[in-house]
Amino acid sequence: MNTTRRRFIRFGGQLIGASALGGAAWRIFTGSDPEAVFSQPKGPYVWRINLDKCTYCGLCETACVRKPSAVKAVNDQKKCSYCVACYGHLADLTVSSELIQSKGKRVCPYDAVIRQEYTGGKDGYHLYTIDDAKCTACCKCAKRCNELGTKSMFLIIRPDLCLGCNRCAIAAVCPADALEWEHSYPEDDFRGDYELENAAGGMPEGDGMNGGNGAES
Amino acid sequence: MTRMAWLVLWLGMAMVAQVAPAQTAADNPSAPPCFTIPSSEDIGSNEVMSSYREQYSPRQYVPESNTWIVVDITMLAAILLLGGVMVWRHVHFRHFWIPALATLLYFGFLRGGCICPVGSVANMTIGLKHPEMIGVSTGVMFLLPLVAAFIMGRVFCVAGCPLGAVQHLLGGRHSLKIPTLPHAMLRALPVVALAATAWLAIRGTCFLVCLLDPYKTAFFFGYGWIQRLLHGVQGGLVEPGVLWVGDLTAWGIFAAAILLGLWVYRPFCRFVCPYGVLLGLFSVVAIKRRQIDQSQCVQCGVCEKNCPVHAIVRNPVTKDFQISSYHCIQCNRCSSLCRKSGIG
Repeated sequence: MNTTRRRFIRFGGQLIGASALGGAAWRIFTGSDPEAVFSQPKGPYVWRINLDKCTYCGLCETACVRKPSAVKAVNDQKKCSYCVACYGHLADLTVSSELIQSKGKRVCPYDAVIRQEYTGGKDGYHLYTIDDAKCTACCKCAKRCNELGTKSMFLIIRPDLCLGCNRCAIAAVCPADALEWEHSYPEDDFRGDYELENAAGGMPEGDGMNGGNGAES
Repeated sequence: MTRMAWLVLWLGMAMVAQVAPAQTAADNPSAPPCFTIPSSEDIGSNEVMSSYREQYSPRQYVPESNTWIVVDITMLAAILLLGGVMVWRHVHFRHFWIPALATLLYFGFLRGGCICPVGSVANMTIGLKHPEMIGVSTGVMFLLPLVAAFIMGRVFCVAGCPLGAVQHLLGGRHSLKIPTLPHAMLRALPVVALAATAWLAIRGTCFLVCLLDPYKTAFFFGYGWIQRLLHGVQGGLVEPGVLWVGDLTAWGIFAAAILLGLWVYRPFCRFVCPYGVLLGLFSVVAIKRRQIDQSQCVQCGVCEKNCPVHAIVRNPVTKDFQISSYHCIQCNRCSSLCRKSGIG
């Protein structure tokens, strides 16, 4: 008698458990909101920086669980004005143009902003790139470029470096609440004002060093 | 008088020279002409620059491939299967370092301990409310150990859980006997943790379960070093300097949790883990539960003394030993030590 009742209760529990598992599975695998449209396949999530909110405070350098941080500064080559003296490169712009390379006081404490002469000689156009092996995301260059210059420098969270923590340590301290949780897709050094160009020509391939195997977009 | 005039003139010139650079920098021919930023028309009219701008292809950083999802789920299923077979065949408990080490190396160090089924409780709560916010991998990661618990009990705790693996490998052998009332209260904490995790996840405040995890620092550390090694082997980017993940606080918490684990068996699993509540509930109605065969039992009490999670208790009325499936983590200690093969 007692055994039968126990077995019955257990069977009921099993039914409830099975339906709970099935219901949860059904809910998350089929119950997507039709309003929510993602062009990407349903992949893992990553953290991204919303540049409209970013204040370049520099907390990305210290807060990230990775040392050095998974956040890196990049310079959008399509937006850069190729100035002779760059706000993100030089702390003091009153240096004559031939002395910038040798004597100019740098903004970056690690000298990660690289300046190359491109065309027009010493007073012509110059290329600025950021060496990601040196960059620690202190944001000093991006802050100056955005406050004073062309707004071409910005910060990205490198998806190949980011651990994708459930609870991002940077998001926890970000004063502007600029870190957003999004489906993962390749990150590039476009500032993002070029959607039309991208749509027409397609996204060009990376430079090979970082591989191209994950672009399922 | 002449000397005085010269002095005044000299002082005046010195003052002008002090002030001058700031005022006349723009007019100084040797200073760069680019204090005004070139407009896009300027750059567009320059043929070299405009063609550079046209032809520049952005440097792309790709996230890890989606094939990792398949590998993750396969690994979890394989380790769960291994643990399940070990529990089913009553393999001696001293061999349980094998699934623990496999779990620690794969889920802990290679995959950074994230996302693990324990942490996925918060993701799952969000996913139940907004299904588009949860990935397939997270959903399967959450459900697979529960399915295993539905069949065999909490196999996941000994095979598949990176947190359990750390506590197993770095934990003490003997468990301090906690007095009954505090023990019961501590055992109720996971329910509180589960409720709080779900509530905070829906509110969008934080992932409480990930916050409570004291072992994550070690996982991030291992992940960072392995990724760095792999990057180096592939000839890719290797960051300079010593990669020291986590600050002193995080490592202090880790050390405290490990020290506590030397005397209290699996402190996180027993008194914090919110996922353990769900696993326990499914274990109660599991198809194959660990039970004591009362016809074989001679009531020696070895199992009760050796159960590290105190899941075996003596019924005060019938004097029988009984296993609480809710608390049992399937470590096989009782079945290995029973002299009469009375635990099946």
